[in-house]
Amino acid sequence: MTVHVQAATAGPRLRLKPALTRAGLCWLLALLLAVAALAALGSGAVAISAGQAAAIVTDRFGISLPWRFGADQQAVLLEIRAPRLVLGLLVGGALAASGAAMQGLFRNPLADPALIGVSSGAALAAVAVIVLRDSLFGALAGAFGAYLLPVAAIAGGFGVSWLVYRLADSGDRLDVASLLLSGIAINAMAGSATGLLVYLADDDQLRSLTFWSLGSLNGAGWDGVAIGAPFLLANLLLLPWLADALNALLLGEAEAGHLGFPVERIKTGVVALVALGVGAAVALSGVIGFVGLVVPHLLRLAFGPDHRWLLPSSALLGALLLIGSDYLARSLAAPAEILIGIVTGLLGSPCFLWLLFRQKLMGH
Amino acid sequence: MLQAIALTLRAGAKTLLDGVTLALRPGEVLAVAGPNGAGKSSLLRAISGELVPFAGLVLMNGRPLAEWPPQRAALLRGVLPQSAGLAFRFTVRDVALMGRSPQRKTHSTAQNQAIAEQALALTDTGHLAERIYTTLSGGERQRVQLARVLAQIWEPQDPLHRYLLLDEPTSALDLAHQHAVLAIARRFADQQQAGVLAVLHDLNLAALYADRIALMHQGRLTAIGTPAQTLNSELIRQVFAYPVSIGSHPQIPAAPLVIPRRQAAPGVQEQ
Amino acid sequence: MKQTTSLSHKLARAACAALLWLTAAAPAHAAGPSRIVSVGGALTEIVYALDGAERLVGVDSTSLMPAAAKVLPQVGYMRSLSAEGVLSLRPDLLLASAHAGPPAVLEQLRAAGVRIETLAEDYSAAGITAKIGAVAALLDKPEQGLALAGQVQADFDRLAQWRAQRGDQPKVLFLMAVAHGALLASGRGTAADAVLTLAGAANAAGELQGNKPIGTEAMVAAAPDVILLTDVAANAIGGLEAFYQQAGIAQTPAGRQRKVLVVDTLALLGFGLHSGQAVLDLAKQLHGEPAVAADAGDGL
Repeated sequence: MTVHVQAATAGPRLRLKPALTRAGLCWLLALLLAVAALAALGSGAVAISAGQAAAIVTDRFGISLPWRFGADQQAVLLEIRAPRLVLGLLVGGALAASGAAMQGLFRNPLADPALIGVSSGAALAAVAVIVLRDSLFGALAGAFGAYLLPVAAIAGGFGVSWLVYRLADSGDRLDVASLLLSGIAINAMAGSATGLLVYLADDDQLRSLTFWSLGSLNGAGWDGVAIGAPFLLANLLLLPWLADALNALLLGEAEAGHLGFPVERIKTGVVALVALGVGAAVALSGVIGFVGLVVPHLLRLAFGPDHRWLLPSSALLGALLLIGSDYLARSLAAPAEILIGIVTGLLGSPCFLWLLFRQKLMGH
Repeated sequence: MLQAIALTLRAGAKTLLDGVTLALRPGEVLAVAGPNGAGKSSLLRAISGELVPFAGLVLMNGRPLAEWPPQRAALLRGVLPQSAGLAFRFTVRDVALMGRSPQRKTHSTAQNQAIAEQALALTDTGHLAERIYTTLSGGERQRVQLARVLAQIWEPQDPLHRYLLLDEPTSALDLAHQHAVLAIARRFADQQQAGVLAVLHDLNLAALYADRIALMHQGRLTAIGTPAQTLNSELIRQVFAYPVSIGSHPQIPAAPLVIPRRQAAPGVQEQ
Repeated sequence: MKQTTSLSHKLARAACAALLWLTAAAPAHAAGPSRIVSVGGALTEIVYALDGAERLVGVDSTSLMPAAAKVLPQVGYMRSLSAEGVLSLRPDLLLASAHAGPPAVLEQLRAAGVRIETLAEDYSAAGITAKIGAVAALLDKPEQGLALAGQVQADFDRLAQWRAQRGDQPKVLFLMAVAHGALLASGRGTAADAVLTLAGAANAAGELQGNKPIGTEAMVAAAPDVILLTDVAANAIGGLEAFYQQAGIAQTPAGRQRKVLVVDTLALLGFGLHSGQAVLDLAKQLHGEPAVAADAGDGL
């Protein structure tokens, strides 16, 4: 692509730093993510050297390396750190990519996946399971065991989004403005229902609710990854396919239609993928705010709104932010833990403010 | 040919279009004129397939619009909206490139970019390629949107004809660019044998560039024909409820010149 | 999900039975666990009282007594433990309150080979002595356990005797905290409710289940003779005087007679070694006897 350098005419320009194009940014993020993932795997409260970590991993494939390690180190790496890392990558990526897609669908850079009721639906279902486990879900609890909570939360998130979607769907077309309004109404209803359940909860249940609603990757295991991965991967792999359509939708729905995009199918697809991805994320790690809203917004401010770049780069930065935050959350106060939502906020909001401020200075 | 056959369009109890039948022929520029609320934009939106008519049919190249696969239809028919509410900070080049969405799988990125650049150059916006679309003036935006639509239907689809539907393409433009845009439309029709339908408010612009003018009034097609046939003082007074005199263009005597009378102050009627 | 060892479960039913059982079943195995992480304030206190402190390698954030416990490595709040954090202390025993969690983390610890002993939380003398019995058995110090349990039981016995002498039953409202602008009153099933019963008082919020927000009007209707405010709630309101100024307080007997007391949450509701004495002191205040200068013993 040739870049024409224009004489200074009125109005600001896109300031793409020549050294960092959009493709360069994606590669840089991927590289940083790989480094961060290895660092997260190699560090924690239990001391495991890089060599030992490598030996533990290769040992799984029958290759023995000269570094010796203990069974406890092996258990920590493979059963605690690894699933937590994988879940963090998937959840962070899906939250940020979903945020980018929602902001495109609503043509509003401040839109959030929570708008279509995924989070409140998943929260309602999870709270219902915790509070009513003994009275209502006894039989189900027997059948699903530890899977009941995540499965119910995914179903709740999807169910409430579906309700919001149905209310906004006037037969042949989905009205995005009604989607927003019905989302607000249904979110309020789900919030009240959750509040009612919280009122009914006893102290013990209340504390698990608080813990859950603040969000954490603590306690993530391979079984949780197995439940969530299909939904999170579907979200991460399929959303980028809709990038061109989301770009066209920014021109307007009619314009996207004139450009040959099946607009209704695409809107339905975006809502469904976001509901699945965010529902699974909330189900497995609680409500981790901030990532879905700010990561895409930040990348858009820096590198423009083209979804072909925005969706993958958001997924990468979201994953990076989440595993970075989780690393800090578990190491800053080790052997205790800080809540991850606190860390994501502390890391992300200054960057966000800086970008906003810089944009203001540039005169937009 | 792009044909509207007995199109009726309703919004609630209100009838927007009432049995409109007209045909856009390949190689012609058809101007649609009429007072505010006459149904010009409704007609364009129904012909483009954006609005589903209550009754009637739109045929594109002999086939009902609904039967064209959306991607196929996109190669044949481009629509310039009255105003595109793009609030995100795309570059002008990216906006033009969006016009190449239907060809993103059939053409290389380089090919699509080259065509987008040519389209921008054609609408005199090539120098704006690096600018952020949202920072442009209304007229610049309108020309960039035109470039996007031209890029969309850039290649001939022989033996099928292409159609360009323009909703008030000159509304935000200065004098020079009004003529530049209509000259582009005229040339597109002449050289590419494409049909161009343009909603225009300025009857003199229509007289200069259109082969035919369709006059609309209260959702109905009042008259359709060459400028000389349609631009007579009686018809215009009837449709626009305003008195005009008709002269002739000093440079092109065949083109009628519509000269509105001066209204006694204060204004009594809006239309 | 309450998991109890069969040992502590039996003990929780009746203190006497538990003590008898303990003496009979003093475990014969050697020194027992040597690296213990204790999660729960009362459990940590008991470990110290049984001279097991040198075996402690970590405690949770509710382990504030004795002061020495506060310098041990912190594994965080008991309900949000970190598996790797606990494992990094290489414990051979996790001594856990029934409130410890989250369950997934306990599961990971168990899978990593950490022995977890979960002890029931029962708001009674029997609950405390059961914990003492269980910890003593784990530390292989049955005699010391018996003695300590005896002291605790004696405190509670004194409390029961005193209570028997008093026929009256003041109505007491226990306010836990302020949440979203509303005062949270302790109803049935809470530690505060157990304390009030032990102190020979009637819970003015006895119709509520758990800690629930209570409106001004409901507070007036409950007509408490005494209102107890936790230190947390008192701070949130802005002090005792600010509380007296609140709408409706003056309309309660407690407000009229200026009988609103601020209590130390941890000492009173922790159900630890000093609870018997702490409840007796409270009971005397509730019944209008001059408070004995509580020399809340710093250690045993």
